[in-house]
Amino acid sequence: MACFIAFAVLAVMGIFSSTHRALAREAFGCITRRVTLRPCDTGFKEKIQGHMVGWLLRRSTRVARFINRYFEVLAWIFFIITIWSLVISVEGAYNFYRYGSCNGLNDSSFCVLDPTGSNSGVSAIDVPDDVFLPSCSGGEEVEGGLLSKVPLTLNRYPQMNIRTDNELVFVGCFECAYTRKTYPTVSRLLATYEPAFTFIHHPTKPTTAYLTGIVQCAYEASPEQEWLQLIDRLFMSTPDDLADEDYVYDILLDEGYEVSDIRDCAASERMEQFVAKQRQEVINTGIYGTPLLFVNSTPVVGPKPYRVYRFMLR
Amino acid sequence: MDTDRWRQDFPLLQTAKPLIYFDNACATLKPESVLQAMDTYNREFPTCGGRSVNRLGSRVTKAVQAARKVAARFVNAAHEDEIVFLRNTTEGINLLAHSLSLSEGDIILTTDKEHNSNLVPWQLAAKRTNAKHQVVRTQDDGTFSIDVYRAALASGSVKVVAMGMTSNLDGVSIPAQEVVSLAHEYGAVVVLDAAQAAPHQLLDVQKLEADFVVFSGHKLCGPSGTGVLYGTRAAWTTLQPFLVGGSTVSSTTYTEYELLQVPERFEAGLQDYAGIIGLAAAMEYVDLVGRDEIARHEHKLNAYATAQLEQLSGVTILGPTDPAERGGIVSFYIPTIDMHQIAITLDTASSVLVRSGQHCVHSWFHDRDIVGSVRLSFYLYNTTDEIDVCMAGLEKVIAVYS
Repeated sequence: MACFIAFAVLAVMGIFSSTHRALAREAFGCITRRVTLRPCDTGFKEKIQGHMVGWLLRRSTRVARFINRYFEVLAWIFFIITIWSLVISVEGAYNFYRYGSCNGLNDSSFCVLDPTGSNSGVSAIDVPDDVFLPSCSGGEEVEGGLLSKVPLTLNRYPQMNIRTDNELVFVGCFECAYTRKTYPTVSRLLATYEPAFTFIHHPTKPTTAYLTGIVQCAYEASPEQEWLQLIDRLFMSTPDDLADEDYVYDILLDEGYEVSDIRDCAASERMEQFVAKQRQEVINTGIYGTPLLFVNSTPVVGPKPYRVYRFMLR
Repeated sequence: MDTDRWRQDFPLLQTAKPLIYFDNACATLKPESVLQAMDTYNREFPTCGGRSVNRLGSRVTKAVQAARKVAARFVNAAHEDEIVFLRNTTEGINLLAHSLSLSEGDIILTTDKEHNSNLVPWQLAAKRTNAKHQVVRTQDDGTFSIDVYRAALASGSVKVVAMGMTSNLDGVSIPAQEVVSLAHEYGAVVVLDAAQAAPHQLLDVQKLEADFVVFSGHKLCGPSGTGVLYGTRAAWTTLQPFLVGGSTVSSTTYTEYELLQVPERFEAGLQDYAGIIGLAAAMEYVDLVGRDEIARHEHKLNAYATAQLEQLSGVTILGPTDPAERGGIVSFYIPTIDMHQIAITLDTASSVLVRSGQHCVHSWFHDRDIVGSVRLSFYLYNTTDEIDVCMAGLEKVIAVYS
């Protein structure tokens, strides 16, 4: 068994070192003989065992004797651990490729392939409830489909949802770093796959909370290309600029919107109720930060690489 | 012998935690004088010898001539031109196995403890010429039986007697003088493999009267890739050319060639001049220490090691029980412990470097059905303190693996 475990370990180390490559070849020769039911005559096990026991002898005769006595059993244990680690590693690599995190979709535990956690980063929602959320206790069911262009409700996600097709719901805030990082990827997806697209502004800070109503009013006034251009420009603006309401209205004017209509709309009671309901609807999904995307109704948290969204859309 | 004084000449023994090197039968460590001699060649005149007349080439030629003188003196050869430099003992024996005139029915005698280098070339030569290879078996304790040898000589037309003077397996030496004398009585050519003898005992080829004596440089403090083949002038004339080409001819036409005399005739191509110069320095160094002194020192160490080994449980020593008959080698095995594990563990745990395996004498181990052995082989720089460390390590090894 020692040659099996040694081969597994040395093969990996051999990628970086020619010395270990030679040892791996020796171990492989030993394996070849074992699997063909011949005794391993290379002395490989004895060499490895000799090195280990010798090293331990310098420190403790008792430990060396123990390792020598149970060498075969220990080799089995390490073999199983190695295989298990290999499986976990392969699964982790697959998860990273497929979901942007070694641990699977939306799992933000440490991932060695994304050590900074940039693929799982979110801007936490820290707006005091009384600023603009009359009731954010969660669980209060509201009518769905407020912005979505297809029959999708975010309530009680995901049990109540029917899987959609080529649908992209993007929940984020204009001033949030991770949402801003995600937006170019979303734009690329829109250009490539032309999904049914919904953007829900879900501010995490009070400074830009006012934008939710304005964006909705703009959408109602002109839901197509102009609205997408407006979203573009808002994402291109700095967070400081976005805190300035006049700056935003200048953009609206520039994009051909009737600013006075938008002002009236945004200040209306109807819009206030709409924003509150939409907020509640998003909260009911269990959101804890932005960005949150629903790609064909699958929730994706954090700025993932393009390939992750592509897999889901395809 | 003032071992401490000689140890200072070996850079590898001057480190903070020097290794304990007991694999001298394979290759010895190199003293500073050898390293310097080779370094001087490589730095000051790293050019061709024997052909270029420029100042550097001439210096190489002179250095090689001087080395040949040293080698002749080392074995007490009557003439410098009886010395041929080559890569090692193996090459020397191959040269002889190819160049000696053998024919069907001729018998080649070796002992049953020959190193592969003094076995396989003769096996091949026998196959090639339809000669017969015959083994003279040693006694149960590994010592040479002159009676068995005499009987073998009398059994047929022995053409070649090729024997190791000292076995690298158990350190036992053959009675070389008597072997040669008897062989000549029967008209056989004698080839002595002195690889394990030349570094450890005075070698007087004139007294021995052997036809050919061959040994390597790396076992006597010299560089690897160097060796000496001595042959009497008369013996050289019986040989066919082996490797030919550059340096072996005085002139050629498109159809003919004119070979040079010995030794150049057998030194084809550009030689390892750094090695030859280093080898000469090594032979001078060994003689400075004194081979009689070295032999006495090794016998003392062997007796000391043997006494301690005999105290350890399960240890079987190969060869005669009297360490005086085993030169500087003690070879042993412990049936319950793998020999390589012993060697590796001694190395890793105690920094004691020994040899494990069948020591290129597979034939003997196969014949005796012994897996292999651990071999300690001593040289001029080894000490009893080192043996103490080795034996303490060995005790631990036995405690762990048994």
